[in-house]
Amino acid sequence: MEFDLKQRFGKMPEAVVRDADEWDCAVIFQPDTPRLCMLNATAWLVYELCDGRSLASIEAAYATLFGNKISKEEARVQATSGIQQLLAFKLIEPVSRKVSNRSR
Amino acid sequence: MHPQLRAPIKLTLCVTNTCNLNCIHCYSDCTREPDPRELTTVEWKRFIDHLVENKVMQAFIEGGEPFFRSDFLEILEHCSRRMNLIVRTFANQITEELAERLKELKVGLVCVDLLGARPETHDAHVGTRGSFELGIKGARNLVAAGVPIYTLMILTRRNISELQEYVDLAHALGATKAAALRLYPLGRSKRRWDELSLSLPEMMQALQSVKVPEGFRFIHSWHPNDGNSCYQMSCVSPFGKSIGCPYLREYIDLGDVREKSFVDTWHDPLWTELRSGNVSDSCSQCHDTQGSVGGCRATAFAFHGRWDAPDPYCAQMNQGVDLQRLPQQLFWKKPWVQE
Repeated sequence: MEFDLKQRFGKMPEAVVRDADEWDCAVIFQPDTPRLCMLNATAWLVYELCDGRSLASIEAAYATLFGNKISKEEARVQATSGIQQLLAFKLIEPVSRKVSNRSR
Repeated sequence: MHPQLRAPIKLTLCVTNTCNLNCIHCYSDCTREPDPRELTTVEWKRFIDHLVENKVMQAFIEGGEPFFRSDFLEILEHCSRRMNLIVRTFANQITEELAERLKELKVGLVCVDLLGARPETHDAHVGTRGSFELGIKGARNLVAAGVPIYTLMILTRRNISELQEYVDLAHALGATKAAALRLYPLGRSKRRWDELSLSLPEMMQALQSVKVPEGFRFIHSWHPNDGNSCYQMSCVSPFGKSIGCPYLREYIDLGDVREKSFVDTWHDPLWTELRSGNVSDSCSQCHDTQGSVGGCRATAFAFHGRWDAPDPYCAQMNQGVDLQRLPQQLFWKKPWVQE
């Protein structure tokens, strides 16, 4: 799936997020689905970056957070893949503008 | 060793020891009338608030029969949209309207107990004629309402010959998967162990002979799937006792959640040790599938009398234990926990 780099993404409202540092993951409950999802560290990072910013901004932030140890192309692939999975699990949604963090 | 969580991710709430059936194996010795010591509606709600505050994210609710508790929907409503909800039931009270209500309340999954694939087998197990038909109808109502179900069958001498039929029935019902559960030596089951229990080879042969319909899942907790899931879960009894796991109900009392913070009971030294995975023997194949070691702590303790023992329900860790013969200490030490 291809995305427009200007497309913005935000977290689904009402999601309950628990950081499970002990497992190096986050556990998310999405009431509308309803189910629990466990995100590994990479997916968790992409999820946190979905605060209404654009895909281009998510990719740039993702690369920066990796200390630019991965190429822009690799950052794009990983961030896009993360976005696709988070959309599939209905944990994020396309939004029209930057939003405050709506998860609990 | 298992990672230690600051609070469990998932919790089993045994909301009542009442039931409209009369199962020959009942682990809780259920009655029709509630024991006055069961948590009240207000106490359950207060406890659920405590769980939500501590980010316990999933409640697995069972009984007894939870729908036999008159305020059960009120308790469910209090949990709704705040935690992932799974309800275990015999489904014999699930009307079309109730199934729709469960869908509205965002119940994520309903586990339907079947104790056989045929009416006569199930009804004899639960001591109530007509309950199989009602349970199947309830299961169908849930599926029709869009509430995912999966089925559970406790494996006993009376139903083992119907295991394949049971899996096929679950598939035909539209369940997401079918599960076979071991029989635990608790309550009435302990007193009728000679009549109901099976040998390990009998169970393994039956499990391995199941032909799973394409695209369907059949799960069980024998080798190589014998997990020690205690490390991420816990349980509270109808009387408000923190007991770690429903199958430890006769062995453990970590404190009354009316008097003590539940999260404090999670950090009880005994429970912390049981979650640690510090066991004398483990099975590498079960570890690979479950990410835990030693297998079920309840059956390990029941048959060996010590907490760090290997679980004899795993063929690799059985160590010659005859699963049809209960240690006498299970009877003369009873009960470990005073309700």
